[in-house]
Amino acid sequence: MKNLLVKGALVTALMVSAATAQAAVYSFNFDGAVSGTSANDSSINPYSNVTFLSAFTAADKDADGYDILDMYDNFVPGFTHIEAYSDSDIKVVDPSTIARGDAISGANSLDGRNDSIYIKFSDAQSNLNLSFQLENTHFGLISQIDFVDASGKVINSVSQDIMGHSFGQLITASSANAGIYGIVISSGSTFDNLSISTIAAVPESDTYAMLLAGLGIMGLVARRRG
Amino acid sequence: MKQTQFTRHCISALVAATFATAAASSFAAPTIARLTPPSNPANVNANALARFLTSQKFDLQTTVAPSAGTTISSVAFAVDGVVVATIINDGTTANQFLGNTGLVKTGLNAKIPAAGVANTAANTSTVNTPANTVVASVRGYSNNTPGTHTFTATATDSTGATTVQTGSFEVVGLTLNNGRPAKNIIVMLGDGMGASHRTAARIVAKGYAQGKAQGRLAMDTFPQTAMVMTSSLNSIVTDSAPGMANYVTGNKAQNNQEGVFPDDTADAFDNPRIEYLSEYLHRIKGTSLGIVTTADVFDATPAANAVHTSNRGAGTGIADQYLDDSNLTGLSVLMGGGRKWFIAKNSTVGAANPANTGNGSTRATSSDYVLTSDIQSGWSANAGAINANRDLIGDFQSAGWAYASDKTSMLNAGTPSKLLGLFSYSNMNVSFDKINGRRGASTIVNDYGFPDQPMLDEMTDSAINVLKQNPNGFVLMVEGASIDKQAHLMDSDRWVQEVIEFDRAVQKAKDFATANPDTLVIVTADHECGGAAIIGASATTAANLQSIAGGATHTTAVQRDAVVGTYDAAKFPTYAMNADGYPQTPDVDGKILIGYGSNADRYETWLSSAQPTQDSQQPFVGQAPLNTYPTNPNVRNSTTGYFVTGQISGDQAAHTASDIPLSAYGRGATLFGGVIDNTDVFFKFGQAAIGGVK
Repeated sequence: MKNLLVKGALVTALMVSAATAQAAVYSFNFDGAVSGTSANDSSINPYSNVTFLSAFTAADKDADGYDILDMYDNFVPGFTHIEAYSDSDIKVVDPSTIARGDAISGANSLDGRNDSIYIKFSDAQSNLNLSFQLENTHFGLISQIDFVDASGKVINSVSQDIMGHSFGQLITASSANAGIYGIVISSGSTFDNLSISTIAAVPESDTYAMLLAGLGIMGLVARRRG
Repeated sequence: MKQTQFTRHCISALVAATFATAAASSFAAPTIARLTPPSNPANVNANALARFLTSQKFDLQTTVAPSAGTTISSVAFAVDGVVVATIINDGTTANQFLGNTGLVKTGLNAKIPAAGVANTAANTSTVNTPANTVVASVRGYSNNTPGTHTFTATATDSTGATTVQTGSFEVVGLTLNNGRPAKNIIVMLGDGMGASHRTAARIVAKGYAQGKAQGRLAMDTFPQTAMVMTSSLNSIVTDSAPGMANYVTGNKAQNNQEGVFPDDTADAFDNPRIEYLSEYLHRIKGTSLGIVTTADVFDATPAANAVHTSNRGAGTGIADQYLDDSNLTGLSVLMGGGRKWFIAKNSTVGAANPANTGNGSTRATSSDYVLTSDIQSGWSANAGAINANRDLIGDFQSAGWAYASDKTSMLNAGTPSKLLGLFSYSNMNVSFDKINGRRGASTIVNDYGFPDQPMLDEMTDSAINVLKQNPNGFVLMVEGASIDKQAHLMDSDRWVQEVIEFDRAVQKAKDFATANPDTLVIVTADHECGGAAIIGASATTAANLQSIAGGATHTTAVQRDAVVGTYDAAKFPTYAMNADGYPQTPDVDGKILIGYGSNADRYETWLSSAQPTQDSQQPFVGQAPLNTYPTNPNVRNSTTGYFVTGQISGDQAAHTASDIPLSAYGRGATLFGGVIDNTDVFFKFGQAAIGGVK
């Protein structure tokens, strides 16, 4: 009986633990090298499956390989995807040298003033939390954060009004989806203390019900054996 | 039977109408005479007139006239049904301001828009302003939600009667994550430069042979072209104030007004404001602003990038606001003519030309301003001060600006963080006279007292060198101002060279954009001027033209029929170009001939004039030697040319409503194409600068 209870407790603990674990964490403070260094330098970005690129929106192709555009050569909603410039070279910068105030921490920030930052993963990610801090200025407009799949199609998009934001304001966005291969942050600012983690999943009510039911069954079995 | 029924219906209708009229007169409600921003809900198919970028600031305003014997007790503004502000009349006759709201009761215009046209853009019907009329404002409003919004003004009078007026405006959403943004935007504005002006400059500067141009103007090499509709808020024919402002506010301004919507107060500096491109990008990106012109810097085109006023002629206040609101615009370069507004009225500064008396200052309290406190609050604007004796050059210098008074000091200024260049009292001399001065062929620039004036390409170079120091980018407007001014005067040889000078500045901008691909350059005009057309070329020699002009017979038979070569007779005019980039002489054999579609009376010889026509803006125009110049085209060449009857009254040619060409180069150039409205350009700037472009 005691053995069974211990086993049951262990199983329960493991299940709860699995539900709340941070599966992956990518953390960047951009301070590992001097201002002007590529954000993909290993001193800045130690994660082999993460690359910083510069994003742009492109039209999807039709079956014949032509861009899907309307009669005015504009994008057709739903038929676009994110690509990266072949000359992407996102850098870290000391924002105090470009009239953007001091870095939020350390010396550097990620320079996204003139690039939409494309954080690209070589492997699929799921249920991601993104957070970063804006620079020590009031500059800014609307921040749009896109989570994209392997082909660059936007899975979900989060917009935030950052007009006249507070100095060092924390921006967060989440995607409770699987198959995430990239995150795009709109241009116009410098970013610091960027962190990507797996959403801390809160067990839903039916999960709790199953746990309780399982414990109840184990208790019942133990009682009968007793 | 049917007739009886009809009669009965008529009586019923009459009774009902009588009751309705009685009810209306018993409960007369206030009249909302104007609602700003202007919109056009009367026609459901009409486009909302007012459009703004996300978070772009503008003012809400309404003019409310009470019915007889009543007063207005409150005015409330709401957007999409949510109250923005409610302004309660304190019952006094004094204007009242609280935070960013205002209720103006005095200083109103004698007439206001008539009821029934309140919401339309062009209020042409007016009535005498009723007693106790008020103008209520909410300053510095902005909206971040893309789409069409309704806004409502609700006026309540002292009897409790209310009137509600609803308008609409649109917030234009940008496509974010679209690509890299344009860090720098350069607007090359050839004032009055229509397609004919460009063609004429190409013919003169590059030449044609066997039907092909032998070279391209710099602006011809821009890959993207659009045609631009130039109308202002109240006319198909714009003047330069809306012509420029519409590009950089995204909204239609009324003629003679810049950076504002029309209102019903006499104060020229309290109109409802619209945030300029310069202010918007400075606020959200930290950009700098540069303004370079060959005109007086108070002129409409330069001012319509940084100054908010309903009176483009209010020079003292315009010059003051450049500095006083530079915290809003990021103004870092201001170059052109116009020193007369920067010299204290009673200072002991000597005139640049010793022959002139006075110091050249035209500062006046009548053209100065103090902002109402609601504007100060809503826009973080400085109050200003009425002061004709302000030493504005000194104030610029105290604020950290380097000052250049001529070309030499401009080139020696290096790369200061801010540069003010004032190279003449008012409009600078035109390139025709500046180049002839440099060649030693004329002393016109000495007559003005400013022999060392820079060319526009030199000013553009200096401006870019200052502005490019800002890592957050810049907005630069460069104006070839006297393309327009000389087209007004129908001085063809002078405006053709103005286009050539302007194109040399375009080349500088293009060179910078080539080296800095995060730069967008557009070349455009605010409107066409003169209805200019290349009608052909002279069928005779320059010597013969001189001979005819010096002779006794100045008739259409001699100077028109025997001279103007059309079609085959025009051939291909050929000009020799000097190393300085300008024609050796404009008076070549077989020179191009220009006609005008909106011409005033003039005398024509088809030869260049040794003297420019008088410029009324020059403070010493009434004194020698400037007063020896021809006063206007109606008397110029009156003893040497034949009379050409004008199609319009007055002494000068006028602007036309013709579409004008726009050329684009650099990042975001592909956004420009087709036939577009001048206000569309602003939103393309927004997309390029914020949302980015591939």
